[in-house]
Amino acid sequence: MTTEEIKALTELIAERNDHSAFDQLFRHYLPGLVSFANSVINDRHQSEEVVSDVFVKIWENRKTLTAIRNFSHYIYIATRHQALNYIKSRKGTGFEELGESGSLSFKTPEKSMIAKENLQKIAGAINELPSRCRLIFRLIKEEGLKYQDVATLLGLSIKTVENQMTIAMKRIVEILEESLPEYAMYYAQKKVQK
Amino acid sequence: MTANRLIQLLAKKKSGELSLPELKELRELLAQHPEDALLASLVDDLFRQRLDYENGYAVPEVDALLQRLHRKQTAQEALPERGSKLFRLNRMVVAAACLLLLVGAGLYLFYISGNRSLKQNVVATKKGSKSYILLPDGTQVWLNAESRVAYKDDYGKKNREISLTGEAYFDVIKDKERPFIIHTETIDVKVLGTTFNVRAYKNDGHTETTLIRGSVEISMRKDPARKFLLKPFEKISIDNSGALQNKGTADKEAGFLYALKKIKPVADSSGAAETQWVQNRLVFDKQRLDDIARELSRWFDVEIFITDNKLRNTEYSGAVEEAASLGQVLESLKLTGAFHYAIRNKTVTISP
Repeated sequence: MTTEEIKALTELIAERNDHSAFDQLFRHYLPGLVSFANSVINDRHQSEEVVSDVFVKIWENRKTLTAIRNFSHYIYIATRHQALNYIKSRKGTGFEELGESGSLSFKTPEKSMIAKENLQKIAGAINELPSRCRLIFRLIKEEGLKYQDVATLLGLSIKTVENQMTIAMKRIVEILEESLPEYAMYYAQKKVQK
Repeated sequence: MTANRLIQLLAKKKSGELSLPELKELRELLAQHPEDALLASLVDDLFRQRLDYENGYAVPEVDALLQRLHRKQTAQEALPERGSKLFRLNRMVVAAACLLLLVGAGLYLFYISGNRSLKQNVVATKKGSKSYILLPDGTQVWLNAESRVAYKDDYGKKNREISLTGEAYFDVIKDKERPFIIHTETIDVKVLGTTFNVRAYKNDGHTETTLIRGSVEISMRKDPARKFLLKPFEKISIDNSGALQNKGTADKEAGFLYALKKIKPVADSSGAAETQWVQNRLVFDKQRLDDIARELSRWFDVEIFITDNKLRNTEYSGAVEEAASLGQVLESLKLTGAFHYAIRNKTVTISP
């Protein structure tokens, strides 16, 4: 979902109490938020509880949604608080660094120059990154967060966020480079066809 | 082997963080090396591909979780709102008391010393109350809590001048002959016909003017030559301590004196966050807790203490409707960052 689509949904919820918009938001954010909460709690079922508690609060405070600048940033911060509160209530067991607990893969590509097996290789490389680096990459690429937002969410400096993003980019570029000659051929042929 | 700088720039580009000089630099790098240009287009291609979880949720699983969520919501909504009834009663008593005071203030005419002894009309509000004033020329004024507007009896005859402390929202009737002038402690605001908000509380560090329609001219009381013209949806914020100093020092520190910024219109209304109070809505957009507390203290007529310095400077966002209780406001703010609070009688304590 694009930022605009999310904004439209939050407005429907705030102004029209739209339940189906609320459900759509939940479906969209569920996997990412559970993976995020799970990096702290290390219990998938409890992480799901945490995420649904966040959504209960979002609905209760739905009137506030229109004032929120970046909903993705907001809901990740709310989830971080909810997860840490849960850990606190459990007297601090199982705390880990905030990160990405699930493994990622690319959805079936629609139109891409990059071969399917290369996409798989890149996803594999992303999954081998440290969980915090992987999370930073996903928050920026998939959730459209800015360096500043990621920095406040994870309690890091902007410089660190930038460095982590560069590390992820470096891995991606390395794999793409391996097959660069093939792509060059592909490109040349395309040009000829045109 | 791709140069580190190129990777760094590509990472920034795909994060939407590339500055204009960096964009130029990237373009030059790519123009020099056709291989890198191909690589960059592959990166573009890759970033168009959406990521998913390997062991993601199947649709029935999400459906089941959604059903659980809906049950939680119904359970939550069935809970009675404890304490809020008592609170509303308190607010009604406060409102009644304020109304009495307001009528008293409105009737209270007094002579001011000066060349012309003209009667002065004063309308003032207490903490926890608001007021609406229709001036003789048809100009409308919405007065926020703990604010005061005064105007002389000859208002509208030769001039249209009023003085303000606190916050007010104006809808000024057009009259080219008689410009409408607002005097605050720090600034004068001169307008022809327009809609705007002025915020000039004595205990705030800044005097703010937010323009919705038309145009206004702001001049510094201590330095009338220093003028600012506002365009619609612009807000100017003037540092009170700087502006109250003598002209000479103020000039030196002109860079720190004021800030001009664009504000965002609020969807589905003709105003902005700055003017939502007129519709009885409280809106905070990334404001320091210290400032929020001052606002809430005026709005709800309570004393608020923040026990921690770091917390005081932390930024929060939130918005609530008129009927919201103080507890609901604090709960909604807590969503953007954790803190604890205790409400006892008319005192609120906020701690980390």
